[in-house]
Amino acid sequence: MALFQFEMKKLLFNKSRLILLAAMFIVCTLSGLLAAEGSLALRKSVDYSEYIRLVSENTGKFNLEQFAESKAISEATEAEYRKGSEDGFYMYLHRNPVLKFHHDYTKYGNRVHEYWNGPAYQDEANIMGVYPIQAKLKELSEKTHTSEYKYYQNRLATELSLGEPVFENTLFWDNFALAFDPSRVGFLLLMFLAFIISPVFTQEVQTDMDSIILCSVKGRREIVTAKLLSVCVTSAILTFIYFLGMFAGTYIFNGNINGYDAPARCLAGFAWTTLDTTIGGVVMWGVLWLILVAMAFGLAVALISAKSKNQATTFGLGVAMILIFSLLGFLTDDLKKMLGPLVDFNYVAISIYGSVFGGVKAYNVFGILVSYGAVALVVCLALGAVAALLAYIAQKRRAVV
Amino acid sequence: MKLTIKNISKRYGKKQALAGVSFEMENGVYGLLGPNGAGKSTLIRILAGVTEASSGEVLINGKNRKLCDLEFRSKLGYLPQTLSFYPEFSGLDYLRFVAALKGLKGESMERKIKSLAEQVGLTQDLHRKCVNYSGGMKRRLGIAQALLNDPEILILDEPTAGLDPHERIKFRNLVSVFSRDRTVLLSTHIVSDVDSIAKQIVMIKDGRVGKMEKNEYFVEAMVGKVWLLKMTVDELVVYQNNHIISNVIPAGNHLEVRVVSDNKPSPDAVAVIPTLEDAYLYEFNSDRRTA
Repeated sequence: MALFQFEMKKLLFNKSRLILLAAMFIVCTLSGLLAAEGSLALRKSVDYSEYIRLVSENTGKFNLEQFAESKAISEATEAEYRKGSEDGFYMYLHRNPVLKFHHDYTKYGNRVHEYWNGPAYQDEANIMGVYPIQAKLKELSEKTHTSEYKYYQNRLATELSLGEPVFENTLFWDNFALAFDPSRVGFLLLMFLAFIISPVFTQEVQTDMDSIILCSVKGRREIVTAKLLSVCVTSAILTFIYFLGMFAGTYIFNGNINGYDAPARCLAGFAWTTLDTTIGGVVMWGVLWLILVAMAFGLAVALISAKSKNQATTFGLGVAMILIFSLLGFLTDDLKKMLGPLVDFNYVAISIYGSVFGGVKAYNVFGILVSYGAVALVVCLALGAVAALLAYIAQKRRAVV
Repeated sequence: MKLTIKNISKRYGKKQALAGVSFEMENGVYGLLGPNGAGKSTLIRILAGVTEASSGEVLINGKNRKLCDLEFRSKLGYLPQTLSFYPEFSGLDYLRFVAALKGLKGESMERKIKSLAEQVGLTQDLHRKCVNYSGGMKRRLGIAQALLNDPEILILDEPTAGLDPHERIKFRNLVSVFSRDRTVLLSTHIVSDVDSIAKQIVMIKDGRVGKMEKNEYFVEAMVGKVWLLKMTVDELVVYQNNHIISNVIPAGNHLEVRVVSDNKPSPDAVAVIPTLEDAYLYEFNSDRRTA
């Protein structure tokens, strides 16, 4: 415990690091403000009260008449104004709240349609939508013992229990969900984390403390436990600060957190989630998930630190890891197939919460279809455990030259 | 506790840092004397268990150190040659951290820290950031950390570097008192550090050690090899290129030069009583021994 406290002091609880944390919080808050820029424009608009009235009148179950009206208005608006950039059109809608409502309701109506009929382009390996799943089950009725049949049976049960999507005002949460955006997670959280964690072992080389540590009773095993524990706690604190900053920034421009108790599927990017919870719940799980991923990534950086001699090299390799894994997402499908699990289960890929838990992607593990989230959880724990184990081995074999 | 170094060799790539080093130590202060780059620090690191030897073994009471590594580490105090500190730690934080590394805790740890801080004269500065300490204070803090666990084996690499003469004497006294029933290996290139307190001395040169003997042995072996002669400054400039000069004292309009040489360097040279420093210079300047 004493060693852990000292490691925390070295890694995080000292003046220079606390200043860095404050800087990180400010940057994250600014990022949250940027994410909620449209909401500010919306709230400032003279028609904002009309928007609120329309949203509250239509909150709840699907209204076909409203959908037809909204769709017509939305299509006309898009034909007229969606000629320039996406950002421009996005801001135009936020300056015209009534049009934004119709646009949102149209999107919602399309989601309801997809809930029953599936998306326009179905992935044959993973059918979506209540009717297509029912059709698939009918097709598999001769093979009821197969894992595929059981998988779709469970999927159908989940879809029916979650029910048809409802319309809710989730403006704040749609803005806040950008905190799970891979570029923000990669550059605001993981990169910062790599910088903070990188000296965890290398500082012992730079301060010549290596000799004293290595020849002491607790210098080969207990010190590693203390360091790895401090890495995990630091990762958790940094992730928390990241979300706190994003939350603060998003709140400043939104002024409320309405919609936290709406079903998770109302959240942008989570239309197909199988998590049976509210938006508040899905965000809370998201924060916990990212803390877990940050810990696994922090342990990987700690391992690099244990194997290298200076902080710059460790940080450089940490950043290289983030960049390379980020680029994997842009490869062609053929290349992705070649690289196999590396594409879906690297640190950056598993940090994309919406992609891991927001859909119905599944993997065939020894003949059983397992959800992306479940496999990612096992991979994340395994990556952390392997990094920790290798750090112990590195310290055991460490020598001063 | 008996510490046996048996045929230790160490190579760094093509460089042979140590070649077949062997000697034994058992209670008392042992001096490891040698010039910079002789292999002292490499040997010290191998003894402390922070560097692996390429071959050979270290025995603790006849048992290979690797077989009793944890026990050995619990009985070891080590001060490395270079030591810097965590910028965020005060002297007290640093000592508490090393105490935690050594498995000390509670009231006994606090008492030990307080007592050692007094012994090394750092009581008033314990709450200051140790990166702001002077060179001597840093060294004293290093000595204090090495003594935290009351080690049975104390290994000190250049412990007096950066200490002023007063601190040096205090350090010698501290080690002298401490060394009763304990083994202290003190590596240095400063002869006066070990002259008065070392029970035995081993000289190391180019990775090889000579015989381990009492310092009197080295001094006695020098009888008839240390000379005093008078010369001018101009003569000294030429003379020192091929002779071992251990001291020069101005005396009126000439200089009294202390020369270490196998032969009488000049007819008017007078033999004088040798010191360990003369023996050290003789040992490490074999090419200039003969006048």
